[in-house]
Amino acid sequence: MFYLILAMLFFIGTVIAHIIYCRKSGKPGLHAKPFVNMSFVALGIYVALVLALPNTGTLDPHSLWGLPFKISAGAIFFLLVPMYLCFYVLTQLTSPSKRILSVISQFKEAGYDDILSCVEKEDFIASRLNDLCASGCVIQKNGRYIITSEGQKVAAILNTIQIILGRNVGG
Amino acid sequence: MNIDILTVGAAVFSFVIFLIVHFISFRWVRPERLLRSLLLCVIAVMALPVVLMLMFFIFKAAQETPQSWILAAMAAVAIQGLMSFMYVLCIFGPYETSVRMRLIREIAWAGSEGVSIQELSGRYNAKIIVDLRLRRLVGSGDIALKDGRYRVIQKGNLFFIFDAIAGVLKRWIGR
Repeated sequence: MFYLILAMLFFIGTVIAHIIYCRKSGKPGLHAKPFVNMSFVALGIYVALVLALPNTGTLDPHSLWGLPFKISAGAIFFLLVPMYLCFYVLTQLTSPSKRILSVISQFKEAGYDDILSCVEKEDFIASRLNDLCASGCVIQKNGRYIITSEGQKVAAILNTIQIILGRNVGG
Repeated sequence: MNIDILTVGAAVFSFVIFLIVHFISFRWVRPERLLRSLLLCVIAVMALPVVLMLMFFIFKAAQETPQSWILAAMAAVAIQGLMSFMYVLCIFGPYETSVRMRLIREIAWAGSEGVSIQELSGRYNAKIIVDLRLRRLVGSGDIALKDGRYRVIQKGNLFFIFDAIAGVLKRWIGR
């Protein structure tokens, strides 16, 4: 129990530190990288504590409290990092599915044309193309979008996933 | 053997089983059945770590108390659930539903000459985005089509739950 609670406390502490960082930071946009860095620091401290604690003789490994779930707790901490990031990204991103659901909820019911016009107004394709240009995966030249070497790597990964999954192209 | 290693081992093994089941069965799952099938698959495989931990307990793989085994089973379920969650949200979800990922592939297929927004719109546009999502949402039972009108029938669906959590986080962040 002790190690699981310790890992949870470290994770909660990292999330609180990230929230404070986001509130204090004047920069717009996502601050995912600082959270990843904070998580690695916290995970490092957790590992150091886990390695140091057995030498102090304060925990009985045969009691429920002192059960040595060291790796399990560390794994839970590590896996909670991308989970938090998913929710964090959602704070600044509206997916088309979410937009469709909010349109239908807003008007209690909606026809196909109402939904389509709302999605067209949102212009997901133009906004996502801008994101791709900003991330360096795509460049815009003479009104044409051209893939960069970074983008080709992503496309190659997606092609591999398609071979493994055996599914049609998504979107 | 150490109960900690058994816990992580059971979780990783269960996750590998989830991936194998997913890779084989999802080749034929149509978009409208996708969300429901995925949820069913994740929940079904989450029972596997419990079964494995029960077997370890019966065969006395480690000399621990029953309470310790219960805690270990819970930790294994949590680890396996988080791994599945991570896979769905970071790999399968973006591949299947991300507009950006689809655009990258469309642009990559166009080669070094690139593609104009008009050409791109001919292959991938708002109508395709809406059609695919409506099929998925109707299939998952989140919305229903009646007399040509769509209605939300599941207020507690995953989108609203995720949105609510993100909303709380947004308030805390203050942006």
